[in-house]
Amino acid sequence: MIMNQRIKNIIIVGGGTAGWMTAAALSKTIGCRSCKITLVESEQIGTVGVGEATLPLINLFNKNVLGLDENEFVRETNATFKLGIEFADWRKVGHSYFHPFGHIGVDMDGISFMHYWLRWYKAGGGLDFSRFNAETEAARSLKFMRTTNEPGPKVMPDIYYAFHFDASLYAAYLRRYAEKLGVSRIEGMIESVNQHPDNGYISSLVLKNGETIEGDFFIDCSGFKGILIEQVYQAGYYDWSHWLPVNRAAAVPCESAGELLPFTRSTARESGWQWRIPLQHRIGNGYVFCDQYISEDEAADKLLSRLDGRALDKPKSLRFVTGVRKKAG
Amino acid sequence: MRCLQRQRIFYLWKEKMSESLTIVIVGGGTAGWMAAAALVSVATDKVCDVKLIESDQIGSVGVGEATLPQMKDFNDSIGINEADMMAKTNATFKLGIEFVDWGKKGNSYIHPFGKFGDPVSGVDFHQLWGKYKKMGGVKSIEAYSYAVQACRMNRCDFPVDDQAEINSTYAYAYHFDAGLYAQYLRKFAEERGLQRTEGKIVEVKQDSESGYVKSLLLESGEEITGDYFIDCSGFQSLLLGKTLKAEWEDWSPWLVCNRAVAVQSERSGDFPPYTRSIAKANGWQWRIPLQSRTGNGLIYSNHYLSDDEATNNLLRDLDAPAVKDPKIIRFSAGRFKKSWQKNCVAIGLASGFLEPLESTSIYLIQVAVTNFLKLFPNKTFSSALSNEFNRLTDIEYGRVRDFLILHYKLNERDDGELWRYCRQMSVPDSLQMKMKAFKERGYIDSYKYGLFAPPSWISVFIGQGLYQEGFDPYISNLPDGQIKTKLDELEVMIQRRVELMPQHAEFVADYCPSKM
Repeated sequence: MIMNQRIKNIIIVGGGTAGWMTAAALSKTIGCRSCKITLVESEQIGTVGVGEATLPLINLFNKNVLGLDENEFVRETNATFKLGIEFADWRKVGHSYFHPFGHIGVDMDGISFMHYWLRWYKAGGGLDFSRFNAETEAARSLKFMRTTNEPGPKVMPDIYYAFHFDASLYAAYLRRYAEKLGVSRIEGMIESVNQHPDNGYISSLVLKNGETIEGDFFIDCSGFKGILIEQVYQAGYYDWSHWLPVNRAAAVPCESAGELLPFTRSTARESGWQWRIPLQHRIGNGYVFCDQYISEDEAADKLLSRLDGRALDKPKSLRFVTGVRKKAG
Repeated sequence: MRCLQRQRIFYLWKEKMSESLTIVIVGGGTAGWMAAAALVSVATDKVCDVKLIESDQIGSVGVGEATLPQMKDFNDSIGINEADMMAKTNATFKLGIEFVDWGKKGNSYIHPFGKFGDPVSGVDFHQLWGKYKKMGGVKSIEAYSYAVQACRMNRCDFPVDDQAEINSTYAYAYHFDAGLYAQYLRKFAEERGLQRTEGKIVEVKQDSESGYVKSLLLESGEEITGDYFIDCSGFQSLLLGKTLKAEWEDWSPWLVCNRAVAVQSERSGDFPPYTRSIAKANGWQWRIPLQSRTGNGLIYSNHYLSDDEATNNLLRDLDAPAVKDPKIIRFSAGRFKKSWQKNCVAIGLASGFLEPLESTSIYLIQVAVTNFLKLFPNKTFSSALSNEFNRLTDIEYGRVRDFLILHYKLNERDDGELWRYCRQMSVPDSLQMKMKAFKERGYIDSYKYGLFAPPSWISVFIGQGLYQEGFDPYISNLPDGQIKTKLDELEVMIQRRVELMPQHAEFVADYCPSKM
């Protein structure tokens, strides 16, 4: 019965990166003419907003779905370009490798490049395979360019890249985008949730100020809390912490320092790992750790002692359990 | 320095030689010779020695004479000359399958090797057609498939590469004589160094501890040893089933047919570029046009029809005189849960059976051969490789199974017990979900690898009367008038181009006239 009824009223709960990406995409594709799109968020709650490094597929979202101008997006979010991730001290202290975007070598005669390289390596060839990846070579020399589409034979492989950006600025940018297309934003904390007595479907949200927000379809972007999916529906959670035991992070921005690196750096530490994400105006840093092995205070101190520039804030503490909801809806 | 390096290369080369694998293929039907041809063309003698054992006393099943477009990729990749192969296997072209009387009597639809129209503003074409139908449109979705129109008009030609052209929107496969194809591949493989041993296997020797297959003892007393054994022994599944006692997964509650009677008839004037599958009261009949003759067969369940009745029905329904005696084949739908176990990989009928309703038998051989080459093992017998092989095989078999079951499930026939049973049977959850997603919203999952692509599902869903009731909401962005215009334009474009194609018979006579 429900399938033939068009959804006329979509409510997005939460206005972090997830909430505003959803709002922007829906307002662009479905549009707000035949369907009302509302986002409820509270300035009191604040976003996690540390996820500042991305993967190349974000280009599909930004360009193909939203139609954003890339340079404008980079300007608005203080973004920088990312060619891959350097993993320092992971295998052992002093060792480092680069996980690049893009392809390594080319396959020939139906045999993958890796086999050619392995054969050569076994026969005593000394070349590192990363020499056959343009992104790695560029990252090593701190260079960046986009693929050029000039006529004539190709002289360079396509460059695969993503961005480092300020996630709060990205959310703000997408908010402007979505609001311009007609998404309405409601400021408020959710107090309770009403369900249909018959089928248990969510019918409305009640805010702290007493306002009731009705909807046909609800998208839960409320972050770790899972206000609808967990608190109402108890979707359940696959806990993966026995494989990925880190459960805390301390995050702090610091002043820019040194050359602007076109990659993220992940450095293994005594009880976890530290990220380094260079933006135009600062560097994002964080220590991801497991509280069984190091206290939160100690981790914050370690992080502050290992910054490339002066800290711009006090470290912010995050708690999480690695895993995934059993059902998203 | 250079000298040292050369020495080292030489040393490695020697080591490699000593590590070279011996691969023994058991059985020389379509599966055996496809595996052999692919192995010798890709893996040189530095990688492995390949031996094939077959017995002229044991015939091959060899009725699988219709293929899918992937067959062309296989042939091309191992370096087969298409026109030469076609001429020597009495081959013809195949652009799809016509399903007659499926769903209900009097029905006919074509499952094409090609797409229906392109998406418009991100909305899949079949949604547009569904909307058009809801608006009262009467044209079948077939009007918007180039491949279907070519079939309906008996035309054939090569598709072009330029994707802007309407005649780039299809692919083709072959009908061929599977016995001649096996012979063709045999010659191909033997010319490239494959060693064939004639003989009947009387005993399979296993390692007493590990159970790995060690050697095969032939009737002549000769003993063939190897590191890996590829079981292409057909239904008897000599190594995987009989020796290693692999576990069978029974799919016969969903695919109840368990017999086929096959017979060849003289070539008739009806020479279409497609296979025909005609639903009958208690089964279905195939019709495969070759240059030399027509292949026919009736697939049925012996619960509902006796072998004699089936044979009589088949002979009665031929459109030209039979040229040989009918042959009865017995089978059961299902497969071994793991077709790579220990040092044995089963390919083809030795690994499982699904009826030839969608010409998937040779495709499944091809996938198994290709995956084996991709995961080519060495003497460490890594379970990582066999597990991955089995995982990939699971995916393919499961999807083909669901697609076949769909043909039986969607029916309104009341002339046979078989159809009543199938209409009421509960289908696998994976298929149930696909049917529901299509009905409620016209959604079809598309896979990166493997069968079947959305146009195939569309043609069977719609061909057998399952129409979408709900739509992709984005279709509301498209005005009705625009949908109608798009459809009309496409129809005209297809008609104009198809009319320029040669007749199938003409095209075959020109490109690959029989040399047999």
